[in-house]
Amino acid sequence: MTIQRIDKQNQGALKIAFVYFVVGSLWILFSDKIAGAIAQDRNVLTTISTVKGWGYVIVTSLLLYWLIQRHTILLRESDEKMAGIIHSAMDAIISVDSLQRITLFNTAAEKMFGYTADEIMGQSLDILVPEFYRAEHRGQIDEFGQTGITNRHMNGYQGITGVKKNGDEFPIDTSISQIELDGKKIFTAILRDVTESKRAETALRESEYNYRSILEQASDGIFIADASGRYIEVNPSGCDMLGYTREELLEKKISDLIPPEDLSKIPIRMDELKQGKIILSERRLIRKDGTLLPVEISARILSDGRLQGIQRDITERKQAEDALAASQVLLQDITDNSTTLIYAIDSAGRFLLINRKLESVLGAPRETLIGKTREVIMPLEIAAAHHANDLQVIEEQLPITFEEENDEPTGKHTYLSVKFPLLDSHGDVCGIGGISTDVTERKQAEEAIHLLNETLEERIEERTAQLAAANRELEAFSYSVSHDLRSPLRGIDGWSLALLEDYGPILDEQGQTHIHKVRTEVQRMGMLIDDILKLSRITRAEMNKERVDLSTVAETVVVRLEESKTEGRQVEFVIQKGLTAMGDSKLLEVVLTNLLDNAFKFTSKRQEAHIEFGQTTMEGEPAFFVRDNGAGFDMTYATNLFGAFQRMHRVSEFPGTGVGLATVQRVINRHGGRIWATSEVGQGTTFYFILEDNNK
Amino acid sequence: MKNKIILLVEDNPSDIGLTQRAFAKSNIANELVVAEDGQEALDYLFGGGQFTGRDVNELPALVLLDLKLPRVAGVDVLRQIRADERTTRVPVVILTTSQEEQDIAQSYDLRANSYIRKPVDFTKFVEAIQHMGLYWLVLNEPPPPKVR
Repeated sequence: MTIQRIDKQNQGALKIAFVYFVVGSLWILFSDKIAGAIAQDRNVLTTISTVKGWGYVIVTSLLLYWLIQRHTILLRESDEKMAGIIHSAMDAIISVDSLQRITLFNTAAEKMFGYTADEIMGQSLDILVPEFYRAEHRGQIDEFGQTGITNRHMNGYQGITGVKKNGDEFPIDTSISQIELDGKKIFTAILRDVTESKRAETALRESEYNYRSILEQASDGIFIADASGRYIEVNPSGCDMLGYTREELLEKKISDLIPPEDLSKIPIRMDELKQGKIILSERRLIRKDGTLLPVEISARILSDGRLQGIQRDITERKQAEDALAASQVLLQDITDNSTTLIYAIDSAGRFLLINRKLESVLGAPRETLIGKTREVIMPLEIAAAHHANDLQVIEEQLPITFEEENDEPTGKHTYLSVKFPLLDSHGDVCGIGGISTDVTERKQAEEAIHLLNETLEERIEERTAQLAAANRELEAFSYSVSHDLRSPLRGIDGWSLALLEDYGPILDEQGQTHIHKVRTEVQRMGMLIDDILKLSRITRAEMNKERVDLSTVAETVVVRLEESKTEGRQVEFVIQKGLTAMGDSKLLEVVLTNLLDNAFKFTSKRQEAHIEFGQTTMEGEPAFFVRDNGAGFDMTYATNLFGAFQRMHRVSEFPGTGVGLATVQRVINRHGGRIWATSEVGQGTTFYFILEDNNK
Repeated sequence: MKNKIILLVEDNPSDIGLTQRAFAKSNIANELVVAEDGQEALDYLFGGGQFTGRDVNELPALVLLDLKLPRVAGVDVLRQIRADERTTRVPVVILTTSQEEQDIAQSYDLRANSYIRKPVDFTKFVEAIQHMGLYWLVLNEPPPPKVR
């Protein structure tokens, strides 16, 4: 461009020179001929020639003046224009010579670097270059000088920086040119401070990165479509949820993914979108595999007419909604089919829920009752009582069971109500729930039982009193038997003896024998009475259970028997040591005394009597036994062995009243145990007994 | 020395007769005064009723007391004997048919000096009376009379 202009200017100059050459030549050729034609006089000719010569000089001078003046003006204008451009340029313009000394430093450069042109002119360019880079920079310029390229943009060199007068470094963008004048190279650099644009660029890049990152990370599908609905951009989530690759999706239109029947049901509201509204809609999209995906789409039209949408997979929400709906139906079914009253009441006492059973109890359609308080529905007193219970539940924030009453057309009903606090999503109590079971019948039954119990106690008291009276009677009976029955006996005995003593001489032997028999019978009667009293005393005696050393008790009895035995009687006693049992010591002593007495009595006719007390195992249980080798008895008649007054032998053989074993059995029974015997006539008898608490 | 009185409190005529006979057989020479019920015994001891004017300072050497008595029961007679300063030291032997534990316990609680159960066998009864007479009237040192 510049070169062309220079050529044009040269052509102009050539033209002028050529015209001047032609005119001059013509003048030289023809001026003398014309002069010769006009005058022949030599002098005149000389004069004309002189004037002509001077005239030529003057014309030429004037022309030269005009030309030079015009050129000078043009040149000055050009210079001024150039300087104006240079100094008003936004970019810094710096020229250096071949030695890289600064020869031009414009106003923008002054501003950019902080130097004035005056102070920097003639200085090395190095002061504007960071120190570490100077050598390389210098090399680059020299290399550029050798290429002969006139002009090069240097932004290929990343991170070129300049140094300000105050030492600050800043990024610059630069282009460099070179011209050669009179064999001297002049390099001119145009520099731009790109701090701001760098920052803007970084910000843009970050913004772009952020946007991209959000787009890629978003779990929602994000898409942009053109005005015809064709996808232009879809993020990975958008692809994933539909099962397409991005490339596949970019060949589709939005309407391709919407089931036709849905499209007519839920049309795309283009009119509203075009008004700039954001439209939120729920619809189903066809996945690549043909299944339908429920989504929520937020769509809007961008200023450039493209459609932007964000779609969310609401499969789970749909499922949750379906589950919720199902569970609500289930809850309704359960509450409505319950025979208990089920209800919910808010903190202001208004019914939120009433099941069918409660509806029937309240006697009005629940639609008319929901939202009303109890006071409107029930008698005030009852409503207040129920409400007080609600308040207690709300205050204590715990489920509480109450007994509540209600007046109903069928009479007063009693309910067992479990009331529990209802919590809102913040965990605060917002009301109460209640389940009330009609326990009227149970209550009545309870009352009946209670009444029955009371009368039962009365009856027991009555019976106890009767029993106590009977006991007193029995005691009185025993007392009078012991006292009153014995005195006549003593009288009979005493007076029989008196008869014998006073009138013996006048009675024959037969008469005396009769009186002796009377006395013997009286004695027997006395013994019987004594034994019966003992038996009754044992039945009534209080039991004090303790561990009793049976071996020691048996030994004591044996000592007494040894002392009482008649001269010449041989009895061998074997007592096992260390046998103990839980029981009443006095009563157990009665047992051993009776059994050992019996053994002693029934072995009285043995030459070598053998009596043993010990413990053995019978039917897996430890049992005590008293064994003798005495007379024994026939087991056939043993059924009444332990009955009172039952005897297995004749009195003439072995005396006795038949009360001893009855007494023993009664003691064993009172200890919760049992007693039995084995016997063989002429071989001996063994009594076994087990005490329930034995060894426990 | 004048033989002291023995007071027999007994309502059964048969027993009275037998006791008298037993005393006779045992050669006990003391005078046997019989009171046939509890009230009569108390009248005798404290000079009331038919015994008004009796010198109550003359205490029996021994009181043989049956428990089952008309009007005032034996234990109540014993209680009153012990409650009165004049008779509180008099030896009282319970002579009865009963062997009930409660009777024995109650008698001793009321400070009876002895408790003898009358055996049905008269021979044994005579033995018992003999032993008792020997013990209470001969061996036993009688209580000193209360100083008024």
